[in-house]
Amino acid sequence: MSLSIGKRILLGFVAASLIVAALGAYALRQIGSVRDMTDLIVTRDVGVLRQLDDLGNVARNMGLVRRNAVIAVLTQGQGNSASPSTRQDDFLGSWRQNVAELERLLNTIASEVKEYQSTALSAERVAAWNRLGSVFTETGEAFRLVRSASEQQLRAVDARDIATVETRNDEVNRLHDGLLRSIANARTALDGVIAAGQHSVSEIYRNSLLSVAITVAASILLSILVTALISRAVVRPLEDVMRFVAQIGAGDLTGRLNRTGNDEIGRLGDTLNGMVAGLSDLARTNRAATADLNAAAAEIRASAQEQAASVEEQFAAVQETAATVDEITHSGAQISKRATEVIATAQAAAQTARSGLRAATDTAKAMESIREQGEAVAGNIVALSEKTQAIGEIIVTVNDISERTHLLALNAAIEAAAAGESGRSFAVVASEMKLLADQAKGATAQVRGILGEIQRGINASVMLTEEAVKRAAAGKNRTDSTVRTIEEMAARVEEGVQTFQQIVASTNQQQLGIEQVMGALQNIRQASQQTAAGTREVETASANLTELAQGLMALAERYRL
Amino acid sequence: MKIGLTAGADPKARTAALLDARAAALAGRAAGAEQAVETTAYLVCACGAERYGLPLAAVAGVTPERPCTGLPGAPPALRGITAVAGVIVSVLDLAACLGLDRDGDESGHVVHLRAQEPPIALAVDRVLGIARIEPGLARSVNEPESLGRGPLSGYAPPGSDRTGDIREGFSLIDVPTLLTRHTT
Repeated sequence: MSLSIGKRILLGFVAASLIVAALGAYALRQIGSVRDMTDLIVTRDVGVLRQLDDLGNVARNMGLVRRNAVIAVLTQGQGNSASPSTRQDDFLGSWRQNVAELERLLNTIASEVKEYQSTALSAERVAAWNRLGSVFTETGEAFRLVRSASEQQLRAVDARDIATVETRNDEVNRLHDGLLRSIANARTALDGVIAAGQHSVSEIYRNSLLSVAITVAASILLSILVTALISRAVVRPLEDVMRFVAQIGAGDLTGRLNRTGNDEIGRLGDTLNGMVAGLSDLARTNRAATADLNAAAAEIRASAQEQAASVEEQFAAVQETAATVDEITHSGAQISKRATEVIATAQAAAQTARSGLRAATDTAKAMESIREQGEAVAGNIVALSEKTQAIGEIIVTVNDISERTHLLALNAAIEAAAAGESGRSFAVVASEMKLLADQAKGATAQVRGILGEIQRGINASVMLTEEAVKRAAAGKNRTDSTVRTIEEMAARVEEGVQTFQQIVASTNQQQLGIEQVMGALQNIRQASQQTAAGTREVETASANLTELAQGLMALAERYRL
Repeated sequence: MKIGLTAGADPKARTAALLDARAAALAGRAAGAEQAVETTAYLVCACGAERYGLPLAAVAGVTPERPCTGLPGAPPALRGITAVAGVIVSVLDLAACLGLDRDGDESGHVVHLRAQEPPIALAVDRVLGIARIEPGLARSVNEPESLGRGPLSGYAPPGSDRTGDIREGFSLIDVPTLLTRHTT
């Protein structure tokens, strides 16, 4: 059976619906037949009943007319015979009219009874109608007897045959009563017909009830059959699938569902096979991941312990940092104090720089005057150098004189030696002269040396003076630059004062900031304590995680791959 | 030296120092004269770094060197001739005569020799003074020429001057030998 479960269920539903629809149609048809039957019975029976009433009335009227005629005749016979004929004519006429009416009714009812008898719905009704027909036949016989007797009586009335009338009157009355009884019997028979109709209707109702009940039972049976078929087609494969799923639930991922096909179960089997394959992969992955998780949990535990240690270190470091920040606070206060002192010092330095500026300006002027003085000194030294040259010339002259004297002394000594003994004293003079000449020469040599030294000194002095002049000029330039430098320095010192004021302000702000830092460090300390607690919790959690990972590994071992 | 010592002092002290020095020199000379040792006088000349002594008896006079007229074909030791007091004098260069190089400056002295014909003068760098030495230092002229004997007749070591005027040592020149070498 390759129908899908949806189609099967739809088929069963359609079958049940068809059964219910057939049942409903059948019940409607039975209800309709009951209604038709009731209508028919009511129409016929009520029509016949009304005609029987008319028949009764007409028969009664006929009796009344006859009695009135008899009464009239009897009244005339006793003496009062005013215009009897017309009245007798009227009695006979109306009586005949009634008779004709009665006869017509009798014929009508008889024909209807016969018709109804032929078209009766049930045998009971046929029997009832037949009984009514026989009763009616008796009624017709009674009518005919009544008619003939009444006609004779009425003729006797016409004939004013009071005796006949009176004799016949009892018979006619008896016959008339029989007619009326017969009509009453007809009515009774009609009641039987009605009862037979009611009985027939109830019979139909019972038949319908029975047939509907049978049909319902049959539909129930058919539904059970359809359900069983659906169960066969749906539940058993589902049970296979459930067994397979239970096997999977027990952890056996080795099996595969063999049921395949185009129906839902087949697709479900394919899907379950895919799911089992995916679960196998998942379990494999899960097993590997659980192993990794176990290792990672161990690492987490180790790192949590390390973190606990580092948090302890951090806590100690935070303590040290707090101490350091406290020291920084003190040093910041000292910085502020020192900066204030520095500001005072810098203001003093600015004052000093201004005085230094004045001093440097004076120095520049002094340098200028030094340069002028140096130039004057150079001029004087040049003049001195000229004088020393003149002295040198004089020295040359003296030297020449001493040289001549030297030679003169030598010649004198030579002459004295040549003169022999007589020249001895002259030799003494000559030696004295030579001595003087030598001393003069030595003195001139010394003077010349001194003069040379003086000349060198003068030259050096000239050069030094020129150097001094240059240096004085350079010193003036430098002093000018010094002036500018001092001005800049004064400006810098002013800036420095401002800077230090800013430093003081900044230091105050820094103190505030450091107080905030202290608060933050307090928070950090609390946070590190919380972190330590959290780390211990992490350690505990990692231990739990390790246990969980081992549990997971045990769980993963459940799956047979 | 003495002037140098007293150059910066006041005139009275300088005069006193001069007088003291003169007195000391005179006293020293008197002590030397009292020894009355027989001495020979030499005129000490300077030629370059060398010191030579000429016998004072052979010297006629000392003059400053003057420009002399060179003679064609003359030996290198003969500087030229010049006129002194109307007499033409041949000027020999003592350093060249003794085989020394001499600087070319003309500021030297000229020593005129006595009793030479033609008159001869010796050009030296400078005449330093007169020294008196013991005669034993000079070898006799009449001694036979020994090996390497030149115009020098002896050597006076330093300190041999009795007058104390010449402190260095000097070589003694035998003037006739010198002249016979350069005038013939």
